[in-house]
Amino acid sequence: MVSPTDDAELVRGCLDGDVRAFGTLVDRYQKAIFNAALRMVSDFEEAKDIAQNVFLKAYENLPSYDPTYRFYSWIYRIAVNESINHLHRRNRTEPMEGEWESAQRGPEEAFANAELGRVVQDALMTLKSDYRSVVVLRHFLDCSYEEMSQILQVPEKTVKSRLFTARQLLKDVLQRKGALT
Amino acid sequence: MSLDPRFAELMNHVIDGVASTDESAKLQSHLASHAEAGEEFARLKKLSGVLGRIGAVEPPPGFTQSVLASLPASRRERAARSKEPARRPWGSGRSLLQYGYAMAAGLLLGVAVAHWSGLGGQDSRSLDPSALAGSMTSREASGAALILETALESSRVKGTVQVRHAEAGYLIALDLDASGTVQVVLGYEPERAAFRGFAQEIDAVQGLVVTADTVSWSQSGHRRTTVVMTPRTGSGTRVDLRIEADGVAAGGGTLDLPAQGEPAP
Repeated sequence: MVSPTDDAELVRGCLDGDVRAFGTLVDRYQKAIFNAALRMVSDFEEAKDIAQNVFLKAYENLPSYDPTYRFYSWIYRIAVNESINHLHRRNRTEPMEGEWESAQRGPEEAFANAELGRVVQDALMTLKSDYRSVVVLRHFLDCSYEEMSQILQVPEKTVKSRLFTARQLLKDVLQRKGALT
Repeated sequence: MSLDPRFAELMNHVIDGVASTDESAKLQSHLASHAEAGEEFARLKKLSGVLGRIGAVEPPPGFTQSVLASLPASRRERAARSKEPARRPWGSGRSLLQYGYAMAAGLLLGVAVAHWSGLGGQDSRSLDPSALAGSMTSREASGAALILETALESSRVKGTVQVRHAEAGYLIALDLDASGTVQVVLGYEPERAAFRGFAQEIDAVQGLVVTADTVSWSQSGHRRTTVVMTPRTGSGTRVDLRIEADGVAAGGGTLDLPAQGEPAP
């Protein structure tokens, strides 16, 4: 995880008019933000647009960012909200289309993981966005309970409860699809 | 199968690596004597492993350049020119109070009395704004305490946002002058506030869509629209305002709405 101090310095640079500092923040978080959006909405192009909006919104709102909080918690919150707002607008729940390239180690493993990725993504899309959010934050962005609580603005107890339910639901779906055998 | 909730929580703690040694031992002891719980734990661990095997997808090439190229030119240029901290687009807005418009005396406000408790999850509804009309007198409106005011300025839309505390809740008054048609999106925290409806120039609102945590509509030209939000807790809330033109962000920000009786942050 990137040092929060580094992020704070970059934010100060942005506020002083250094656009390159913001570029560094985008470089640093684009993969996490894009993947969070992708897992939430299950569409490559839409995830790209959401990720772009997240950074634009972050840039616009940087002056109101409270540096006592971690920058990534703040921008992840924007990403989750943008994704959920997008889903509400589109009311989209259908499974993803197309294939996404991810870093793999070999052709056989790549094929197996791509297939697994499709099954997992389909299963994720069956969850309500509140449940999908906690799975994405915990398993794809590696957030702690405390961080998820800050990002989602709900108590840790709620985070744990949602994560527990989400895992139960996801487990049941994946079991039915034979992905947990 | 129904799991003992205490051990279900422990399973999650162990899987997430936050269980203490004592908790882990307690779970292991339970699993040793409860085969079904053991199977459940094995499935949860397998699920965690499966999720961990899903690789991250690379963002599109040139993503950073694309973001930087689309940054709002006005603020970027102003900041670069002055080399001073860019002006805060949202916040206490105390210095902007002098620019505020007064709510017109004698203006009759329509206030929605709709309740959205039935909305949840990913539901959304397209609504006729006129169905949300209620009544609020100008006395009530003018008596409401101004708690926040800020300006909005971009190439496509200019205006001010005022927030007042009234008996009905927060009155969020948007005075926006848009070049062409813009989409206004208000995102709110449903745990902390509920959307009640609109006041003022309700006919300005077109294509109203309400979800569990957003209200969006389109409008064009110079319009004044007031949204009414009711607090659900005594701790204040946040509202994200986004203006979009042709599907692209054209301005907005986060409004920190203090609890009743508290000063603006």
